[in-house]
Amino acid sequence: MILLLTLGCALDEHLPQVDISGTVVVPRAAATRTYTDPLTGEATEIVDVRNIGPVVIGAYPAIRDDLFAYPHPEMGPVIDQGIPGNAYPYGGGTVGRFDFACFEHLACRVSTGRFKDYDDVLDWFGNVIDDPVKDEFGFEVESSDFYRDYCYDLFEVTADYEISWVSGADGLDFVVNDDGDFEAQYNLWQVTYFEGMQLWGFVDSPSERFNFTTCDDTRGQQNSEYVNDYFYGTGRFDLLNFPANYISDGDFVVGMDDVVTLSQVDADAYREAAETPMIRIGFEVGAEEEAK
Amino acid sequence: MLVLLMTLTGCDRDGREYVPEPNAKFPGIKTLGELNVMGNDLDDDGTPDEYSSVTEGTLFDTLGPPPLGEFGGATGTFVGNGNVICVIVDPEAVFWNQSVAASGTDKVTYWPENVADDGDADIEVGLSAYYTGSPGVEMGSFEQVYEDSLGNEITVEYNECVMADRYGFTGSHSGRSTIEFCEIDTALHPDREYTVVVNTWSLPLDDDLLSYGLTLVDLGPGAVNDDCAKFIDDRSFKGNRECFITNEANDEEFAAFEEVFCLEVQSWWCDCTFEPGPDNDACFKLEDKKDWTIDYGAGTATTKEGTVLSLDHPSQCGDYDPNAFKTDEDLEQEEEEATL
Repeated sequence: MILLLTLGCALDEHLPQVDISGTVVVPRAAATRTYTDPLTGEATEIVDVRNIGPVVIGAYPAIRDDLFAYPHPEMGPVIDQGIPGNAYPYGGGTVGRFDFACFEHLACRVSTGRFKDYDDVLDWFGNVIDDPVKDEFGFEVESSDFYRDYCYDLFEVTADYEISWVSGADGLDFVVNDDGDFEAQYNLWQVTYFEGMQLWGFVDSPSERFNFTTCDDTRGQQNSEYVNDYFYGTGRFDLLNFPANYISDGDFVVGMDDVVTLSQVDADAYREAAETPMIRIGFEVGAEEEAK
Repeated sequence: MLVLLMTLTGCDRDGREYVPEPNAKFPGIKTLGELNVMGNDLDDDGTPDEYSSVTEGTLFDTLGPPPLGEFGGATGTFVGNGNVICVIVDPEAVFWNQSVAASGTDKVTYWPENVADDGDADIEVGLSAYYTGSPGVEMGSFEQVYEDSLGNEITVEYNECVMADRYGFTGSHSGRSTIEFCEIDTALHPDREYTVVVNTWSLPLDDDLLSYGLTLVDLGPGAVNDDCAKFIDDRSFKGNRECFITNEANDEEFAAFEEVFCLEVQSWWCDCTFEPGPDNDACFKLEDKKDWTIDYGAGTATTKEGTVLSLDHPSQCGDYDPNAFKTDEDLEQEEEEATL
């Protein structure tokens, strides 16, 4: 009986879905931004992992360079005016996701895997973005201890590890590689495998005021405590299906030369090969136009 | 042995007797031809002219049961003119949820509704080129298959009609006897033919015939979301959407009852006609609070608006259990009083 039960553990269901893991590389330029001091007018170039917005990666039937001004997955039929066709992805995931950093002021502006701790956030918005973090009364949040207490109280937690966006010094998604670019591990869970499918993705770079197009600040959990009335914000649900809706100048996408094609004949063969595809997201949207 | 025999007798049943037979007079699948599209210049002042305008522009029809194992419904067409077209269907009859509160029962809904006379119809609208059915022969859909470059087939929905439920949530259904509507923007495909599909969702249990009203309204160019709902609300009695298309059951008794329903006194009316008389509290309330005049001798009631109604108990009222809201103690007390 025990032998029979044990045999069950070896059952291979030959599922058509696979988990795809590997390394994603974004160029140093994606982590580099020039910020201007509003008082002195002095421009400073800052290279920082906090400049890298959420990275969206998907598996698609094909990538084409004739649909938009940048490589983009092939699309199904255009049905509604002004809305691109559905890219019909086979699956995908992100490196970093939007997480609510306790104050309305920060809704849709903080991703997981980008900030080490509370000081890291206060420093970034106060000293770099020049938009200090404010509480619901409009008062600047200056103390990381107050910040932590506020978060613990809001989420009813008792430790930093319960707050997803607090990554810790060793928990950031991206690290600098030997080329000076930034790389991170990615996981795309349960992607339906088709021979010849291609991996493609994009980095949502922040705007001047450090906002992101891939986040929807009208959705997510609602805070209606006392006089509060706002949403925590959440990643848009159709990023993989309609990426062109959210890609704009300054974002980075996978270039045609860097598209990864999975050539294993089926899901079993892919699992057997244990591949770890490397994805490079090096094509800057709008850069060619700017150069012209 | 006996058990075996009893088991075998079950084998000659296939449940067919529970499915209504097709009706030669009322086909279950039919074509409505080219549909009339009303203008949007109707009054919205609540006058009888306004309601008769809607009635004149509405197509009234009755669907019977479809052949066994097939979907039923009707299809019609219109040609897109570049404007936004509002498509509205109202299946018979009226529906309300009975209030079952133990005390303080709602005056509008304390009487049960007759669910056996209720039908349900849904609508789909899209370019005729995408419709897979054969009008009048077989119902279809607006689903087409898209094949990506790796040969993977994906079903794409070309139905452009997004219905909402009674709370306004899209992608839902309003439910039995309640109107369904949606907006179709023909700006992308002017001069192209669209197909309107009325799908038989459920037939009324009492006669297996689904009567409905179908109205198409041209909202003009550039109409936006909710314009269709606003158009209906502005032209419905008391903003009750059931009262936009009237007498969809094509029946005199229903027409009279629907007016009572639109006046939101259906429970008093069901109660009063159940046991008509000056002692009936519901009859008293109709006279006292709604200014109705009831002639028990003649068996008629006249509404404040002047409509004369028969005191015959309408079939739209459900079966009422007068003891439904009484506790065991109440019933015991009544029994004791009766004994004394």
